[in-house]
Amino acid sequence: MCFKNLSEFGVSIFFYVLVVCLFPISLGSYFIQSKLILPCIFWVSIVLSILLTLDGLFKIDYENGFFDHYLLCDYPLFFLIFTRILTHWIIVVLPLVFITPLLGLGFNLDKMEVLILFLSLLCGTPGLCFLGGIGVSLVLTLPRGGVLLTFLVLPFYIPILIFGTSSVLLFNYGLSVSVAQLAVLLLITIFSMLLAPFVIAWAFRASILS
Amino acid sequence: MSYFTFLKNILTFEFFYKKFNKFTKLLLYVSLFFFCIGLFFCFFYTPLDYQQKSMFKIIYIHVPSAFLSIFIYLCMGFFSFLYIYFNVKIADLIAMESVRIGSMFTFLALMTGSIWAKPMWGTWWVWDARLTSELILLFLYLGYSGLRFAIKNTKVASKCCAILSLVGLVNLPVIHYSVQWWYTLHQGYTLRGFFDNTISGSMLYPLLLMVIFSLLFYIASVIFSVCSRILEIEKDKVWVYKEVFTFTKKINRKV
Repeated sequence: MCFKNLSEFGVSIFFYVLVVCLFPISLGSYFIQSKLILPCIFWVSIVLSILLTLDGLFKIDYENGFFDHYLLCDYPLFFLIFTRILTHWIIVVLPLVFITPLLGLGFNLDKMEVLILFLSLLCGTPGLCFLGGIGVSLVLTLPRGGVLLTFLVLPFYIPILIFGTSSVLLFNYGLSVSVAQLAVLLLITIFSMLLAPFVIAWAFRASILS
Repeated sequence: MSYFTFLKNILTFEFFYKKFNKFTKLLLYVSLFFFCIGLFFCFFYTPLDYQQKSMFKIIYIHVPSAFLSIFIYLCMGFFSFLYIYFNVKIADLIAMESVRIGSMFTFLALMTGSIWAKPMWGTWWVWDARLTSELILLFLYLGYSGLRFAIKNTKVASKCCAILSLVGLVNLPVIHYSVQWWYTLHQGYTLRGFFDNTISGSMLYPLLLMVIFSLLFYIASVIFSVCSRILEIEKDKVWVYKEVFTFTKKINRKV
């Protein structure tokens, strides 16, 4: 249900790996050695990949007719939306998160830094998916809402991005500092996981008027 | 039951137009009065700052526009909530018209902040918490206008934009408390309460006058925009014809 056909599964993975590889190619070997940029590269690439795949979240359901089934069946909309976005996260984003340690080791990061990066991505990406779901539900009925979706959703992605990268960048100051940033990241994610389905249900009921 | 019918009579477009349209000119002139007094005091009565000499006086535009950008977003959130929950149609119009002014004041705050920052901090922009969250606020305003422009069905557009503004309310505590939570470049609180201020009196009063000016200006322009939007929406109704007829009769009589 997440993809139109199986080949789209490779699109997100290839896009992520390619964008991550573009940065050291353009920066050159001198700047890549400084290691400060590396968590930022991974985080920005994951944000861009998630923005690409958000189209498959509810738009495909809207086109195939599943959307009307959501609204008509007696099951509470909160759980339907919650599980839909959760499965989207598991199928689409988790592969990207699991590829990251392999790429990170390829960039000569320490083992502990790779672990913190992996944990930050695990904590932060569900929040990204749920907040992206809010954006998708608002532009659902628009035929070409893709660019507007990016514009609407990016202000909400910025705090997650900031905390995600700072958890790795501040690792030099101690493990507890990184864990503090991870805790705030987890807070934002859980907050969005609990509240976003309500907002999305609201937006679904509003856009069905058309 | 009579309470609801009373409220329904109060909250129609016609009632709003007839009661509030008279205040537009008055509010505008009063706000301009405060503007002139505030600027007069600013230029002639406030002393020069110890370090910044006279450069700090851009505060008299920067602080009111920053305050107003947050206040307008609060108003927008409040009226969006009224629209979504209680289905008050005026509230949706007020929110829609506030966005234009709100985005302009946010942009003004960011621009005057940059102009002030260049001689003081040596850089046009820095990515500290308060500036970044103010930029996010600008994107939220622009996103609201973009969504309203993109969705063609007006009812669906109003509801979706109201939801967007409510979701964006999370940003406001971040802007307000950012100077308390993160100790970065932007300076801390200046106005801490009513009696506990660290700013001296002669600098404070023009600031308060400018803030009052900006509030009155916002209210005047929102009423003006909402009234013109009401006329546009209700253009098939009889009362609009009567209003336009009396208005043109007044103009012809003056000519």
